[in-house]
Amino acid sequence: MSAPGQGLQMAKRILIVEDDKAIARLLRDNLEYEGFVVETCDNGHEALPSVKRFTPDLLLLDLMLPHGADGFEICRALNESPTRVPVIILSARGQKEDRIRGLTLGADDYVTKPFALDELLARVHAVLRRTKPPIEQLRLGKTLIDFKRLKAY
Amino acid sequence: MIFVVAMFAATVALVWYGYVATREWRSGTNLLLERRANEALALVRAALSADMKGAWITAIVPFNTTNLDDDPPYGMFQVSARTFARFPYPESLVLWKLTGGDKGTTYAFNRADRPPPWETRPSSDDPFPVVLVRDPAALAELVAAVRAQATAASPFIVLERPIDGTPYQIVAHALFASSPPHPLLGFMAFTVNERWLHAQYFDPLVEQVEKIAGSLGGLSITVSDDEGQVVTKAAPVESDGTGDLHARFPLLFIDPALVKSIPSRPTPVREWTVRVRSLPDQTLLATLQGARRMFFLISLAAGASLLALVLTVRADRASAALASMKSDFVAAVTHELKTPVAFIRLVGDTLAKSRYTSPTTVREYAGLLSVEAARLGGSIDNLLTYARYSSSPAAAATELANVEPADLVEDALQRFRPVLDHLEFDLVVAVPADLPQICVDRPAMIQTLDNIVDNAIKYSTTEKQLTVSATATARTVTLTVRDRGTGIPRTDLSRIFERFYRGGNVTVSGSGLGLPIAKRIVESHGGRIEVRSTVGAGTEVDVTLPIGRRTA
Repeated sequence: MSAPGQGLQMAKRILIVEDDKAIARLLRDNLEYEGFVVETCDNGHEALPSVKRFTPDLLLLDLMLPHGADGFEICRALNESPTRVPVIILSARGQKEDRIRGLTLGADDYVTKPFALDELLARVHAVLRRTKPPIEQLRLGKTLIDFKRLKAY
Repeated sequence: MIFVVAMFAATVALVWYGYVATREWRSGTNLLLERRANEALALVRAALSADMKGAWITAIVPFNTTNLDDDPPYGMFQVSARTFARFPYPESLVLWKLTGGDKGTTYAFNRADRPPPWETRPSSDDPFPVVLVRDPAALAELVAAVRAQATAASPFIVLERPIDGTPYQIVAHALFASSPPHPLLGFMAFTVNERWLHAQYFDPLVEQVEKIAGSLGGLSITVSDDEGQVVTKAAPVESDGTGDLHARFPLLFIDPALVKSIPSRPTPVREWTVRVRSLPDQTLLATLQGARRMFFLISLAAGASLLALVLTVRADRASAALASMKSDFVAAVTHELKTPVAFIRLVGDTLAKSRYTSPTTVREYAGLLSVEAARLGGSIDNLLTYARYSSSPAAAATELANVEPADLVEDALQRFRPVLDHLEFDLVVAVPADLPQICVDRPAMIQTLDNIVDNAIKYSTTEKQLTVSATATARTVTLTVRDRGTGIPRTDLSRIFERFYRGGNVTVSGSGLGLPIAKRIVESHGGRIEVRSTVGAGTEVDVTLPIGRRTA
């Protein structure tokens, strides 16, 4: 892996929804090291409000969460909202049924715990590359269309 | 579900079919009884009609002027004998003819075996069945009455009148001269004693009919007079109304059609009643009872299969619930074990790649690492104990030793002190040092207390207070762990010791094994565990253990 702050691109934002604080801490450290802007959330209640507020480019989502919605429900809610956010599920549940369910509900990838750090980072980059909108802004005369924020000025 | 509905429908159909079949069978039986009663009634009526007209046809109708010429009327002996032999009811045949003055001459041919009550003379030893009495005084009024009634237009006369105080029915045939003014030349009559009729006439007749018609099953035939009094001997049988028929018949010993044509009929025709009751015979009764028993058995079987169905459905639901709990358990255990491992690997990878920014970070990682490793160790302990105590709880508690309760509590709390400090718990330990020793498997008992304290910490979100106290009786020591946490709803309280069961209001992660393990361990020590809880006020867990035996 290369040094922090890859290139001149605007830093990508990643939200980590994970109830285990230790794992959340390590993921945060590593992703920040990669140059991402990272925020964490440790329960199901705050997950969706955090997404709204933080508008991440990617969500790392644990399936088993205390309080409120579990990972599957959050996944479904995100998939149904107009501002679709790419999701990578992080779960101790490695069974085929769980993977299929997660991917069906709109997750972009599924990583089973315990995972290798390299693999996770590679998948994060892959998903971001895949889901990057072709154009973020388009200027037509005096009108500016912002595809990311779904607004026109 | 379709299977259950089909089973249920089939059972209901079976019972319904059984019920309908039994009812049909019963109504079929009733129909049969009814028809048999009908046949018997027709038979009785035909027999009565034929018999009651018989004497009239035999003795009275053929009476003509040649009989009057026969003087003395020896020919009448033969007629009387023949009539008496064939018909039981004529008591006397009476011949009157206009000879020897205006009074004429009366000949009464009486039965020898049953002399009329007005005959006062002793019967003779003559074996001939007919006794001739000439001009009996008792019949003078009768003769006068018949002579008064007789007209050329209606030669057949029926009279109801007493002879010497006994009621009689008299049937007569009058003969008139063929040339005007058609004087009455004579008449032929027979008398029927109505007392005898009441007492004797119908029984043999009914018996005979019963013999013919009753060969199929029980029939009860009774005859009653115009006042409703039964004149047959057979005891009236109570029946349930099926096959109970009756018909009226005129008490006339002459063709009833003929009587109706007589305009000046002196006495109204009396109508008697014949009643036929059909009794279900033994075969029918037995079959009906068999059908009823069959229906009962069908109902019983249906009830049993419905019960079995209900039990099956319930067992199925229970096993489905257990399967769901087990699956939750597997997920919980997976989470409990894999999360620390995931963390450890993450730390390893991070450190191996030197992706840290400062030595402080490394120290923090090390601290986290040790916490996660301890947590992993705790989870593994719990699982191993669970495995050990769930396979053979009796064999599990083998490493018993006497311990001080205070030591035990101290050991158990040791692990939690950093957490309790960190969460700023108010911890109160009130275990007297002079409590008697208890005899326990020390690591297992520490784990029990661990699980209870762990729950208390997990479920104390607002009031962070934890009290561990102990009391003793002569035989037991009770350790009590009390928190001021969320409490357990009443509906969950009875199920908290079930494996993998996790309360409806549970929001923290866990395997659902803590309390079942605690219960197993305590019970294998001969102790008991009790939980009292109020939602919003906290939970109190009592662990009661027997005081240690002195070891040799």
